[in-house]
Amino acid sequence: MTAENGTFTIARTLAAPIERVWQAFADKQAKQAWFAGPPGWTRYAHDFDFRVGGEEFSSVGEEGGPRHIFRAHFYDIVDTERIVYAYEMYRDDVRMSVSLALIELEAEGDQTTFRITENGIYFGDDPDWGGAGREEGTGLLADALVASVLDGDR
Amino acid sequence: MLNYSDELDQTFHALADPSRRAMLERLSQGPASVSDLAAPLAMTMAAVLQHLKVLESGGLVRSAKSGRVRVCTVDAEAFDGVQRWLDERRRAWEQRLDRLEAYLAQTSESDGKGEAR
Repeated sequence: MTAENGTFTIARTLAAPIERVWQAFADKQAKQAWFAGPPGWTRYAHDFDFRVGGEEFSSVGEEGGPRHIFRAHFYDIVDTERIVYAYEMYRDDVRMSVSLALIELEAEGDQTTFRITENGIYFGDDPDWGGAGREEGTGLLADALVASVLDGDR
Repeated sequence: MLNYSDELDQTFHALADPSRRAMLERLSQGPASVSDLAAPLAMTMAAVLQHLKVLESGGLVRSAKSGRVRVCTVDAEAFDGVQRWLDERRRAWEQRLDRLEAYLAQTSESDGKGEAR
């Protein structure tokens, strides 16, 4: 299996005060309202021990499909400010990736700026992506791209 | 800097034309000059160059001048595994954030206490 490294960052302004946004990250019930698989997916398990040294475990999936597993370890938590965690993603027993993430919140009056920065190692050869890496000469490159974009959400 | 949605729009736009898809399929067999790409297409060179520009903006094709010849290649990064994985992780977050926004809006309406704690 190959291993490749990649990074992304997302920022968004949320129309809620920082304390409520923080609650959505810190409280298990609140988190389940939004930290989920796509509509129609089953939540098989969710363990959430939100403290430094604590872990989170989530398993979701479609009926009859593979389990998409998320396992995180919390390294740093500063109330209403930031969360640092490392996480793995599995599809059934196969580990797909290992990543490091930083979530930052900043109050902007009644609103909150959310930012996530992730760096991860991806082990490649996701079967749902047709096993294509850099296959050429197939004339199906465009199909592969469209398929990967329309791929089910995780 | 383009955000993710703009990039995706450009890629889909690039794919949404049969001549451009034909050019992409030709390039998937190996690099080609602009003349090579134009040969099977019933259009002016200007039109071919316009299509090429759209393919490049869509991140699917790269081209470079080699002497007087412009050589085009497919941009493997568009189909690269790690790029797709990153796009997926980003997409997953965008969707979660959409749901988070909905949740925050919902709970704000039902919470009569306002933001005081």
